[in-house]
Amino acid sequence: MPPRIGLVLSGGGAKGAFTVGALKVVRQKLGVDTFPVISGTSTGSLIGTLLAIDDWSTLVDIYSNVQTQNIVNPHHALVAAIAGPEAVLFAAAVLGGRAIYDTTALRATIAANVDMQAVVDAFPETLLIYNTVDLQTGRSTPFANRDFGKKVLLEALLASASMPVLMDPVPITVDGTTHQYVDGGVREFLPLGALFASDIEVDQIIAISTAPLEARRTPADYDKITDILARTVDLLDVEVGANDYQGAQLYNAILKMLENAKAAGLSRSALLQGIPDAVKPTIKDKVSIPITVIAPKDHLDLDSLDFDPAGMRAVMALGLEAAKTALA
Amino acid sequence: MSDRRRLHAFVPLAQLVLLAAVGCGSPPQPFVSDVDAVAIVERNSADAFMSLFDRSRDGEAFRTFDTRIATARSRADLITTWRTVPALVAKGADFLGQQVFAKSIAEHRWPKDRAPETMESVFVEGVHLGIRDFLVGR
Repeated sequence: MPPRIGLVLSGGGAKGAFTVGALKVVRQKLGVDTFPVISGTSTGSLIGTLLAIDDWSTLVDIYSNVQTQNIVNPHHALVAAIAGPEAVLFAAAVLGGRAIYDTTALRATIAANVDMQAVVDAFPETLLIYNTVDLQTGRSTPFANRDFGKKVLLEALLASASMPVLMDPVPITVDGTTHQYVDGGVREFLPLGALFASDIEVDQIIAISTAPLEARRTPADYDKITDILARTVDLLDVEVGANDYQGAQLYNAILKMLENAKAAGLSRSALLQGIPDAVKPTIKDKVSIPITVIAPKDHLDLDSLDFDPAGMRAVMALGLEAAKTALA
Repeated sequence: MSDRRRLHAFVPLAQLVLLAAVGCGSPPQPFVSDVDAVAIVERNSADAFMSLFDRSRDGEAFRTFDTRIATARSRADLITTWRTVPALVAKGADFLGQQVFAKSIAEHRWPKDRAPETMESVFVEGVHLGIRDFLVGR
């Protein structure tokens, strides 16, 4: 019987091709086609969507062949064509606007390829979680196919993929209140927290990150605002993702220590002595779960919004090799 | 005409250019995936071979297999021939059944309404293409 694997899929835009390459090995080597829970952020949400509905070949096709204009287009196209994306930032600031890029094409690409009713129907076999951040409350806000219908899930998928400033925030109405939501990677690049909070039993967690777990030196000189922005986003991804992983490891270590102490005969009250009441529910009845992280050794040589088929295929090959090593 | 007046004459033109620059843009083009049954088998074949074999070590075995299935007509032919290549059967006698065919049939876009016997040629073609992809590292 194949293991019950919980999947955690990071953000990274076009770098999601690395995740797809890694998933080839996960599917084949572990003999797993169905995942009881998938927690995704940004591009990880889109990947998780197609995995949850068993549309694997479409997923690989998209991350092999999609182009930037199928995902985003500058809000001020001619300004961008004449003066570059830096000028769009200026135009948006002067003329008004919430983002540099328009995501109408992403919405159309999702509509053309994803059966959102199948996403809803994937539960209870697969709990799919889109991680977003609520701009009004500032909180990490998960949207799961257990809790919402296809219309809200579609908006949540778009929100989860909407990198703030680059892409428009997405308004979503829940219980009569409308808030703006953006990419969950703002707060959690490697969204392990939502998986731990899901109460879905798994034997193992596989977390796939499109960023290395520590910052790497790059040889480039940064003298353009867009390059500096891209490098800054890369570094933030590394920092946030590494913190997400370390937090999960610490949580696991605490649970393991409690399991060991319990096995050694300590009573429940003794185990929880001195632990604040507010913390107790987060560890009550929980068990430690092994986590395997698949991540690139270096920063991937592909910008998040550079959906270039040749670049994505190269990155996909790196993901496959990284997973072969990690799961050897 | 003074320089100032000459400059003012260009203002409406500049505004027009700016408006055009702000407003222009081609309509968004969605990407539409067109994977069919052959592509699904090809995808799962290539993934299985790339994930569980080594191209430099096992490439020759796959070339042999590809030659031997030149006249194959069905999944049964493919599986029988697989078992004749030692380097391949070492990964499992039912490797193709489990790693390729079962995964392909389970996919969302698999044409489940078509009679199974009409799909046999699809499996053969897809495996051929999967071998090609594996050998070129695609």
